Amino acid sequence: MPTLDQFLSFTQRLNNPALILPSILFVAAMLIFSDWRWALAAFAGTKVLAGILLLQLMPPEWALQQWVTGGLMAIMWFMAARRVDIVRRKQTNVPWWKPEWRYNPSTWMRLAFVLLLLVSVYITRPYLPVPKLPADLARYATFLALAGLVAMGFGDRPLRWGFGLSLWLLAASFALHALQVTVDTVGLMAGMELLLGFAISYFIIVDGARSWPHPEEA
Amino acid sequence: MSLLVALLLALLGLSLLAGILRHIPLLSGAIAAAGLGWLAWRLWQLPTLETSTFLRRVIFLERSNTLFGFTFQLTPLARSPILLILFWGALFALVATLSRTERSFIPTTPLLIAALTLFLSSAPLLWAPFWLMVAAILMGVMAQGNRPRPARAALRTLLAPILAFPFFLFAAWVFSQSAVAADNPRLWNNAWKALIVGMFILLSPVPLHGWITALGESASPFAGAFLVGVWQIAIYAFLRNLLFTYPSITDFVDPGVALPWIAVIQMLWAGVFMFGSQRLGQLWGYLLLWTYGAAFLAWGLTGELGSEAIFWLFMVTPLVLTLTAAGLQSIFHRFGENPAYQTLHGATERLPLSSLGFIIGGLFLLGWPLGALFPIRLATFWVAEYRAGDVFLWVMLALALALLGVIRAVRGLARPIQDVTLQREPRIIAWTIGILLAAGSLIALNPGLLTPIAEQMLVWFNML
Repeated sequence: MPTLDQFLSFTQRLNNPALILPSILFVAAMLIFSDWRWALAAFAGTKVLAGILLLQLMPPEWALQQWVTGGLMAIMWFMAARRVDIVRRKQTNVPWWKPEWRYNPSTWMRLAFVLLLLVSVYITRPYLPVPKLPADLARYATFLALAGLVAMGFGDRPLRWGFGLSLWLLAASFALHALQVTVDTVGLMAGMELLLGFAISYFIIVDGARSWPHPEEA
Repeated sequence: MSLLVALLLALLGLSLLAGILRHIPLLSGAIAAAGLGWLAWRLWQLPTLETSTFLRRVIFLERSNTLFGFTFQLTPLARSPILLILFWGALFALVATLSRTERSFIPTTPLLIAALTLFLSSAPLLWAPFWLMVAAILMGVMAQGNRPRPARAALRTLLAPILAFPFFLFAAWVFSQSAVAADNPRLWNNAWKALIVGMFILLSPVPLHGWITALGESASPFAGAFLVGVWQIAIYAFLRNLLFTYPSITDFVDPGVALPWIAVIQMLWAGVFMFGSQRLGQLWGYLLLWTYGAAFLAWGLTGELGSEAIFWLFMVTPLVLTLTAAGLQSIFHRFGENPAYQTLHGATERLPLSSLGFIIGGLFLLGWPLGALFPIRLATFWVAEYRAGDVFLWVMLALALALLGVIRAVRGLARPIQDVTLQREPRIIAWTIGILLAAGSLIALNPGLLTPIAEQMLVWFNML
C-alpha cells in the first residue's frame, strides 16, 4: 500500500489538461440522467477530476480536499435519496432491484439543453478573465458556472439544485484559488460545500417524502 | 466575555430549550418569545462604551473576538439591525404560537437570529458572506418546516447568498492588494463591478425574486413573512455598511437612482401577479414581494444611507405582517395550504376575523389608512411624487394592481358556504387578530410613538 507522500506524488502525475474533456462529459451526464444513482456517480466523477485539475493551482493536500468534500456530499445525498426511494418502494410494493427509468419529455428537454450548452460553449469559447488562472482552466470554470445555472433551471428538485449550486461553487473555487491559496479561503470554500451538502440532503428527504403514499408510517 | 459571545450563547441556549420543549408548543413559543423580547430589551438598555453585566457575567462592550485571524465585533452599527431582528423574532414567535403554526418555526428562530448576528458582526467581504450562507440554510430549513412539502422555497432561498459569494471574495482579494489600483486599473474596476453585482444579487431584484414568491406558496405564512422581513433588515444593514466602507461604489452606480427603479420593478411585477393570482398563497407571496419592494423604495428615496424613517418602517412592518399571517394561517388550517379561490366556500362566514385579518392586513401592507404602515407609505409616495414623477406613476400603477388583486381575493373568501360542518375559527385566533388590529391602529394614529426609538437606532447606526 502506498504511503501518503507516494499517493500525493502519484496524483500530481495524473494532472493533465486533457482531464477537462472527461470532466465536461461527467457534468453533462450529471445534468441529463434522471436516475439519481447515475447522476450521483457522475457528480463523484466530476469532483475527482476537479480535484486533480486543482493541482495546477495549489498543493496536492489542499487540492484533494475536493475529493473529501465531494465524497462526503455524495455520501450524504446518496443516503438521503436512497432513504426516499426505499420507503417509497416498500410502501408501493416495488422490489428494490426493479429499474424505474422513465424516458419522459423532461429527460429529452434536459438532453437538448445540455447539448445546446455544449455546442454554444464549443463555438463561443466564453471565459472570465480571472488573473493568474490558466486559459484552459478559466474556460473550464466558466463552463462549470454556466452548467450550474442551467442545472438550477431544470426544476425545483433538491438533488438538481444541489448539483447546480455545487458546480457554481466549484467554478468559484478555481477562480478564487488562482488568486489566493490560504487556509482561510480553502477552508471557507470546503465549509460552504459541506453546509450545502447537509442542507440539500435534508431537503431531499422532506421533498421526497411527498412521494410516499403513507408518510406518517415512515 | 464580549457582547457578541454573550448574545450568541443566549440565543443558542434559547433555541435548545425551545427545541427540547417543542412537543409543548405553547410553552416552547412562550419561552422563545419571552427570551427574545428580553434580549432585545437588554440590548436596547446597554450603553455603548462601558462594561455591563449580562446573565451575571461582566460584558466588555467594545471587546472583539478573533477566529482564524479575522475579527468579529458587535459594533453599535450592527446593534440596531440585531435589535430589530430580535424584536421581529419575539413578536413572530408569540403570534405564531398563538396561531398554532408548525412547531419547527420556534426553535429555528433564535438559531437564525444567531447566524444573522454573526453575519452583521463580521468583516463585510469575507466572513459576512459565509455567515449569510449559514443563515440562508437555516432560512431554508425554516421555510421547509417539519412536513413533506415542495422544497421550492427552501432551495430558492439558498440561491442569492451562494451566487453572490464568489463576487465578494474576488472583490475582497483585489481590495487587499494595494498596488493593484495603479498596476492594473482594469482589474481594479472589475473588482468594483463584482462588488456591485454581489450587492445587486443580494437585493433579489426581478428575476431573482423567486424565493420570496415561493415562500408565499410553499411555506407557512409566518415563516414566509419572517424570513422576508429579517432578510431585508440584514441586507439593508449590510449594504449600508458596504456603502460606508467603500464609498467609491457610488462612482460606479448611484444607489439613489438604482434602488427606486429596482423597487418599482419589484412592486410592478408583484402588482401584476397579485391581480392575476388564483390562489391565496400565491397572492400572499406577491404581497410579500410588493412589501419588500416598497421598503427599498423608501430607502432609495431617502438617500443612499437611509434615515430613521427606515427604522420606523422596520419596527412597524412586523405588526401588520403578523396580522396578515395570523389570518392566513387560520384559513390554511381549514382549507389546506395555498387553497384556490374557488374552494374557499364559507370562509367569511365561519372564519370572519381570520378573513378580515388577512384582507385588512393586506390592505394595510399596501398603505391603507388606519393601518400602521399608512404614515410611512404616504410619506414615501409624497417623496416619490416630489422627487421622481415617473417613479411615482409606476408605483401608483403597482398599487392599483395590488389593490385589485386583494379585491379579487375578497370575492373568493366571500363565496357562500357549502360544507355546513366547516368549523368556526378558534377564539384565541380572533383575540390575537383583534389585539394586532388595535395595536396597528394605535401606531397609525400616533406615529410619533416610535420616533424616539428610531432616532436612537439611527444614532447607533451612524457610529463607525
